[in-house]
Amino acid sequence: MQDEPLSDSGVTAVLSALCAAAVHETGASGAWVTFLGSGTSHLLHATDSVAARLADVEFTLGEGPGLRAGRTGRLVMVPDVHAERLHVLEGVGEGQITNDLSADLVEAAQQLDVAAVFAFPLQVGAVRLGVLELYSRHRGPLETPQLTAALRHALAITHALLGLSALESDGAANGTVEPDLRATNDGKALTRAVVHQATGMVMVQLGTSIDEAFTRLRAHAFAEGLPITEVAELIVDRRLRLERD
Amino acid sequence: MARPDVDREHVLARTFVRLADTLVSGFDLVELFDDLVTSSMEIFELRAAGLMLADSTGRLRVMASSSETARLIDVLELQGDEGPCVEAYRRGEPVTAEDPDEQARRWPQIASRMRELGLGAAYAVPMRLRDQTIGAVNLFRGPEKPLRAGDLPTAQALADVATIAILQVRAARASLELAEQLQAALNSRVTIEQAKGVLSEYGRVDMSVAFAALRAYARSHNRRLSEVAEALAQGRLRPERVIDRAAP
Repeated sequence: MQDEPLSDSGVTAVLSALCAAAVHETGASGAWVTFLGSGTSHLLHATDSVAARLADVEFTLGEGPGLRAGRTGRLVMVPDVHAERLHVLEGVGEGQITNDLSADLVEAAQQLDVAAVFAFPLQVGAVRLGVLELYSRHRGPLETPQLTAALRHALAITHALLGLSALESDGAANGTVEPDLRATNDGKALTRAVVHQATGMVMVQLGTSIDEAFTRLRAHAFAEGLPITEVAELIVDRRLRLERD
Repeated sequence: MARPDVDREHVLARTFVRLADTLVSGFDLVELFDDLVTSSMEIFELRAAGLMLADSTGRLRVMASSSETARLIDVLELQGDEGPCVEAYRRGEPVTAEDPDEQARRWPQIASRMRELGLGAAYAVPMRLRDQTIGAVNLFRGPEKPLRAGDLPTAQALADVATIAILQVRAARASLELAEQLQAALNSRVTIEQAKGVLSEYGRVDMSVAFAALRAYARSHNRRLSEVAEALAQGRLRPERVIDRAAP
């Protein structure tokens, strides 16, 4: 269900603009965004052929910083791909700095002249949507302003991915709307606790995963032409239940 | 009247010790902020309290609220882009507005809603980390019940201790940047809301009961609140382990 809006050309334009901005503001060499569905993943956008190739390598190997970030919901930073595979610095609740990569991945990075990779989960609470990854030809960690910029773009991309189905109706998905505007509109709904509470309730009502529950909640709002916050309030007030298919 | 004062000093002292404690034990930022709000309610005899943090775009988001009323006023503040918390965050200084007329002048969009919700004197203290303001704490007393002299600086001191804890945690975990830490905490807050939804639906209880069950489970199993919430929301922990299924 999520695949349909994501394949829209308007999305590509928004992702392309946001990825380009992320690369520009972080001083990275390139970026790509991967969509993660239940058991699937596919590349949504890559800024250049190296980024596309890295995405392909991760997908083929079934491992890498992006998949790890997507699985754990934590930031994964590989500031030096070629460092000795010795230590993993891990924050308990937050991200990890690591050079713990498979030999295949290190070799692929070497061939592509890639020195560092940084992966940012795109998520809403426990809902995992995908990953933003940045690569750099120079080794070294992201400095504070660059890291902050990357986090900001990861958030904007998350909002953009979510804003699409709601925006299709008014023709905004044709790429004419500023990415920032889309992000703001959907971002506001995401600050409302009731939306997340309703997502958890729908998960139990439908007996599905949290990802699927969130998709169903958004799809219902879209189908009824209601703001997601309104549908969420109905659910939390127990005046609406979503039924299993 | 001496008695309540003594009790109050005890609660205050205990709160400082507990907040300081979090500096050494493994803990959750979410829990720390929640603790700060809950303790402030008791110490300052508040009608409502809330805590907001800025996300990586600089937009304030509700991180902890003493009640649904408190959450509502926080959301109204964010929507209207005005109010004590918003102002304290912007100016990096404590905010005081005790008089309803003054509140109406300063915050024309939300002042009447504050009164409807039974909120009177309004205050906020910023959460400052070095030269950066990362959020603010809202404090509301009942109508015609201003805080006592010296209370606002005490509230600021509590907020300062909580803010310093963020730095400490980072050092202890060789952890990453502040921005990422705060983003993770905000995301944990969302996960907790999702987990509350799961428990509320499964146990047929309201959100505050669901939250209490979540917190009780985390404490009795010695696990972090955000960890338990994530396990629930991702289906790795069954809701029946945490709350009883309501009779149909």
